[in-house]
Amino acid sequence: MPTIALLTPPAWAEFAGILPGLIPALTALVLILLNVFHRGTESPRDYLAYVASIGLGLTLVTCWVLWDDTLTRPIFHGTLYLDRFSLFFTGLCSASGLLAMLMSPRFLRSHGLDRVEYYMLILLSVSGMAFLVQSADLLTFFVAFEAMSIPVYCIAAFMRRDARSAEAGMKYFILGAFSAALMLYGIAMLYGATGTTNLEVIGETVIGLMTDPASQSANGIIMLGMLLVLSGFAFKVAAAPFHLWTPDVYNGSPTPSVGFMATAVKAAAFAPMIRVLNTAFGHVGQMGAGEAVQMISLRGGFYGYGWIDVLLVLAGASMVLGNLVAITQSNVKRMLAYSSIAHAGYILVGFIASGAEADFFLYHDAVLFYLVSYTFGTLGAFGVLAYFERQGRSVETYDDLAGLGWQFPTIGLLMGTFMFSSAGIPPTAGFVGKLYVFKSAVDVGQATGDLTFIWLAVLAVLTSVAGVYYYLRVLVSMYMYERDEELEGVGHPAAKFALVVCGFFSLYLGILPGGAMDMSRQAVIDMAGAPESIQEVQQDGREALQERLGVADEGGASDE
Amino acid sequence: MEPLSLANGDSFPWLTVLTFGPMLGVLALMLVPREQKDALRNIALLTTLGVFVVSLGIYFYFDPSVVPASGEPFAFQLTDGPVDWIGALGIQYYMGIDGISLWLVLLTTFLMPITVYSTYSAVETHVKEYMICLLFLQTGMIGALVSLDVFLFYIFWEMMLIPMYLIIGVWGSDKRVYAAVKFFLYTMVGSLLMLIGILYVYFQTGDASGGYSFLFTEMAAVDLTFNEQIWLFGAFFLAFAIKVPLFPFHTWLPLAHVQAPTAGSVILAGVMLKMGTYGLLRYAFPLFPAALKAYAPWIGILAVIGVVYGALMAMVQDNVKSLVAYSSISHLGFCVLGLVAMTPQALAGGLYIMLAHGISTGGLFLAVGILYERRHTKEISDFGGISKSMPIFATLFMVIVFASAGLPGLNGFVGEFLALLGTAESHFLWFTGSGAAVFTQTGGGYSLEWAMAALPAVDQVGPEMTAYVLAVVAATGVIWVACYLLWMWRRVMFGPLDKEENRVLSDLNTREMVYMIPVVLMAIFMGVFPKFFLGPMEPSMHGFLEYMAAEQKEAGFDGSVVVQEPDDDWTPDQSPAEKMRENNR
Repeated sequence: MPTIALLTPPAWAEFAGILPGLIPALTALVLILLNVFHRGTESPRDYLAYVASIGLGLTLVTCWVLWDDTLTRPIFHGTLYLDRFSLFFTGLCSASGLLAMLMSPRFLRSHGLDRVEYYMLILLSVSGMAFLVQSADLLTFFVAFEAMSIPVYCIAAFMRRDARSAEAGMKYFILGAFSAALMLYGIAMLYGATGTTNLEVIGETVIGLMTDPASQSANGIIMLGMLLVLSGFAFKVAAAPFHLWTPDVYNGSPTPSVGFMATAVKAAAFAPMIRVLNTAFGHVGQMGAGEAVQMISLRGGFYGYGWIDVLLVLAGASMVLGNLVAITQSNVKRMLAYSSIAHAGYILVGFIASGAEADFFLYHDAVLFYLVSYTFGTLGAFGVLAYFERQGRSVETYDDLAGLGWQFPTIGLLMGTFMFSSAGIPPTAGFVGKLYVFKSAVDVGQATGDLTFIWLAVLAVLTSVAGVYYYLRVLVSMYMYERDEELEGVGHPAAKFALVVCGFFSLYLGILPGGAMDMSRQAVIDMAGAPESIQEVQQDGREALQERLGVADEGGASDE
Repeated sequence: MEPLSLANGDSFPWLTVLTFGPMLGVLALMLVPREQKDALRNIALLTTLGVFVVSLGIYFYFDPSVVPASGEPFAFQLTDGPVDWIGALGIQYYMGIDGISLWLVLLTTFLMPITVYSTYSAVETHVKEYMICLLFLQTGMIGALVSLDVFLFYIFWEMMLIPMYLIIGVWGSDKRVYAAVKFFLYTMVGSLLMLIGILYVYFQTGDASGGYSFLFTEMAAVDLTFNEQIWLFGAFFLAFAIKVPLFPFHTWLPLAHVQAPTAGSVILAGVMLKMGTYGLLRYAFPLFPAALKAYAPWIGILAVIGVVYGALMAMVQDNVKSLVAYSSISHLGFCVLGLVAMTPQALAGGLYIMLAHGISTGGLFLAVGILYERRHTKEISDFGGISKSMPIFATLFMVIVFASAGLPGLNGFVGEFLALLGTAESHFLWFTGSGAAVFTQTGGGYSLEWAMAALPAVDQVGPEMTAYVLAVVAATGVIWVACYLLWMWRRVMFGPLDKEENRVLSDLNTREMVYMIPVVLMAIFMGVFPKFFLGPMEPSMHGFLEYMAAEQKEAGFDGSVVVQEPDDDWTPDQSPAEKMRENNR
């Protein structure tokens, strides 16, 4: 049967499913072609950025169009999903890529690096992300994972005459390759234990093996495989203690692309993390009979030593370390790097709450929303730093920012918005994101009666006060200190536009977050491939959402 | 989507207009080039004056006879909404006022134009941003006072911080950055813990109506266990106590006041500190009544320590501004003591102190600002004999000093007298046997009996001793306040005019008189006609106390809240607008 299935070409309808990944890849090819016809080394290549942005814009539109035509079953012989969950993340990643691209041309030109490869690499990375968030099979998953990562390593080292950039690329690549190898090793173990790479089948087989008294010896290898896969994720999302590369890489890489790395890569790693953990390791089984019945689950809960416990450690360590170390930084880029570690910690808090039991699956929408709010705040912050940077003159310490707010009122206002959003102060997107995450933790804590969740939320709150301190320092520099020399203003319209877009969404999502919340809820409800216990929750959520929105939700998972 | 109708029925959406009115001014300011400083100042002044005029409307249409239904702590009127704001989280846009918030809103709108007018000469740099910050601040403050959705309240509560942080940090004196950051972080710690508390209560609202809700009325209806209340009250109390600020959470205040520009100090002392006491009364007390009973004696002790400590600290200050700042700690100690005593007089006193302190301390800071603009110093020793060169100023300053010191006939006296009277009669502040048991119970092994041992033994003197002791110790604050304020005034105003710089000081100009005189008149008016202000509050306060009494009865502390039937002559039974209509007929 499987052989025959492989020989049958996929149905035409399934090709729609690869469009989000295909469009950026094709745009990359178009860019190469355009570059061939480019004459003169001095003339600017800004138009390449615009073409690439159009490509990503098209991807965004595709995600929008496909939103109502999702499928519950995997396409391309069980390798990819086409669900709102993946569309949500593809959309987020392409938006992030698009904005980062618009911030780049002036930056590249001033560094003498006005080359097509930069845009191409971002496009290829986005293409990898699109497949990564869609993957239904550990093989596609790993290939897409690398397709996303390798271009990013190259971008990190893009300023090749700059020692710090070379260092960043090297560090990122070696550590990244190492963690990818470990992850692959974990995948191999899972394959060895279950005989398959398909996530859904792994999920069923794993729980089958674990509940079967005859095959208890496989537990160890499953556990180890899961932990290794998890470590790969932790590396990509920059969660402590897998964060060591972050500050150096963020500090050395070309600034506009750091925004892309910090947001899109993180989001694209969180998506398969949700999918893999819930699909492959989210099943619940029973062992024994009668009185001695035992519930078997890889979640673990608190101190049952499952993935929730691992995430608990990661979350706590990331929040504390990220925030405390960020305080001591004098370099804003490094501060933002450490704060992105802290943000990974907050996201993991939402992750722990929503992963604690199948019943809370819908709370993943907090994770999704947080990622959206985080994307605009962080991208904007790096964009502002890139806005002032030029060859031989970097603007990255607090002192460099002194008095900027008065000299460039618009940019200063935008930076203020990004900082308030990142710090989580109303009425900005970051506040609603944090609220949403803390809310899910408090709710799960109440529903389960386990106070650990509430203490986790309290820890998150207290560490975010530290966050307020270092984000405010940026404002202190910008507005409360005088500047001795004038800083040259750079009025690149595209960069300014991208910053305004980031600022707009940072405020809009803080004041009217309803639409984005509903979208993230729909994305979570529509996530395909989840085990049955979660599917029931998703179905309940779908009905509740339909009732609340008052309109029949026509699209989405309706192919039977 | 249904059409957006904010107002209940067909009445004018007063509170929405009041809250977001300053935003119109912000828009106008953004269009004016930064070089035209006079235009910027005038726009800001006109905006705040306009808001003040509109706010008279809420006084006019406020119906004092509305009383809370039984089982409800408050009865709100002139409501806007509720309109769904963030449907996914059950957050609604809902505003309304009652007798408690009415005067605080009016205090805000009254002080704002005065503040803006006072900055005409004080602020020369970045005038545009300064005015924008002031107007944002006004939106935040009014919004926090009128919100009936706890989430909405929280947004406004936090929104106040940003402009105030900038005002202190950008336009303050030498150590402004340190002061601004400390101010921000202190307030932030408290309010974030409160946010967790809010979320906890929020998730208890779901059972009855299905969806969760942040509406205050829904939250107040939640039944919480005693243990939960103890923790949640702690979270709320911390947030508000930092804002008040209650001893020992006060350390940010003198710093912030000394560093802030005059307008920042006036608003900070005049209105923002009241957010803390208002929050206690509006949120912390009615949401967690059983926990309040357990905490009340301790809060009372903190308040009394604040009264005495603030006064003693004020006495030894060399800097006029930090003297006034410490006097704020002392005055707000009276206020919290009054609020927590749970008797009609004490509650009225606490609320009245909130208003009186806003006027008199605002006036003190304005006066200090006038001196600072002339001499560029705040050290008391740099002055002396000023009354000879500035007689008009000396007179106005004197009235305000007397008002703040609680001279009968001026506004400070009414509140302090009522608060002390009510505290002495309080049953709520008693360390009763059961109250003590409550503590040993929640301590979970860590018994607090050692703390009880320091107090007079209950069986020897009777529990009422606690309230008397608190009232008596607090009453000494009235003496201290006279000491430090009059002493300060003597050192600044009288004595030989021995410093050359002080001889040539010019007396108040027209602009300064225009903003000082309303403050002085208001201080006198509030002292002579307290009924005008207390009357409309009365039904709201009575309803609140009845609610608290019922809740305490349920929690097993029957009779701890003193409720008296309000005097009918005392309270107007219709809104001024209604009365006018009747007279015309």
